[in-house]
Amino acid sequence: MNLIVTVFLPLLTAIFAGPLLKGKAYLDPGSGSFILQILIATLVGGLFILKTFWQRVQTFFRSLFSRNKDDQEE
Amino acid sequence: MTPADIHLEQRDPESSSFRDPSGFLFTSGGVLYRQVNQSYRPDYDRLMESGLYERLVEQGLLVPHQEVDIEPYRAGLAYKVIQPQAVPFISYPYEWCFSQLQDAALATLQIQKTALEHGMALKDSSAYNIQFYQGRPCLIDTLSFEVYQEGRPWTAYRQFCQHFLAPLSLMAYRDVRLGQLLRTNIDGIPLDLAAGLLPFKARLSLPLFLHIYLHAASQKRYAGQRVDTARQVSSTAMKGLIDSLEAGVRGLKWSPAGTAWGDYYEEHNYTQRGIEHKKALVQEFMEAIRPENV
Repeated sequence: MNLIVTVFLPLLTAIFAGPLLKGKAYLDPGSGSFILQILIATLVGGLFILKTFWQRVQTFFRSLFSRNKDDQEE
Repeated sequence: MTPADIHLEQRDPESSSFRDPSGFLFTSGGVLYRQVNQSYRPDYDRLMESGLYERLVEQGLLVPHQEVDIEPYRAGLAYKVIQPQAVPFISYPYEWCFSQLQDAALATLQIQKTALEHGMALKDSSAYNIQFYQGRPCLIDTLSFEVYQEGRPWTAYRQFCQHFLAPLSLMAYRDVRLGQLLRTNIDGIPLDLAAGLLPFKARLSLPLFLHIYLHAASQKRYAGQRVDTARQVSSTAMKGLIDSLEAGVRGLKWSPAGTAWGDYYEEHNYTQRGIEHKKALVQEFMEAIRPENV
């Protein structure tokens, strides 16, 4: 837990969250949840795009091979 | 709104209606109704007109209701009165087994995904809003939706982690009896508590590392700090967030093997004649008592 607080969060904050803590703002007890969601959104969003792309590639090859199989059977 | 509010409002509708400005439950003539307030009108209309209501009811994920023409409980605030289909048996998350809580979590995420497809989002993800109806998890709070504003983070994210992901991961990784922590933590298990109780190997799961450990650390570090509301979460990132939570929930497994009752029906010491006699006896009792619920 200490490792996360001292290493990962400052690193993520430095990369993504600089502007998060400036400008017009409001006080919210759930700030940590809100900030974390924004911080990881880019990461999980990127993974989601990769996953969706990979599923399309798999579907393409599956349909290609099943078509070849059907042709051979005919 | 939780099932507990139903009982509260039967006695004193005024005292608990402040909990949700969108509306409240009340009973009249022994029938349960929900008043939809004027302030919730845009969200309710979107729910009904976007096709989201029909889709969720069709999938068995939302309790169906009828709009009724009766006197509202607080007429000054009222937009409509609806009569939800009665759920015959109310149960609570701390009474559920592991797979029930897991099914309720997955149903909540499925509802959120379907809502996003219709331009709406869940504004809260309390486990108390889910009930098991005809054996399937079903959302009972019709007023849990709000119009989705592109770029806005998911307001129910923290609640989902506390109500579902934290207890499920503790049950799967540490001890299934830790689900009972929901009894004393009515708004879900605090994430710092879950992070402290989970074994080190739970960090190797990316969803748990992000949504429990990093989340708890972020709550600690940024408690009460100023947040720039201009920073946004794109709709793709939102889908990624839901997908990541779903992967986290699906990845959790608990097998009853090893407990005294896990292989009861294979290892019990009844003879074939004894078990047949027990079945006949239970059937006889049931016919004599004729209980409403079993």
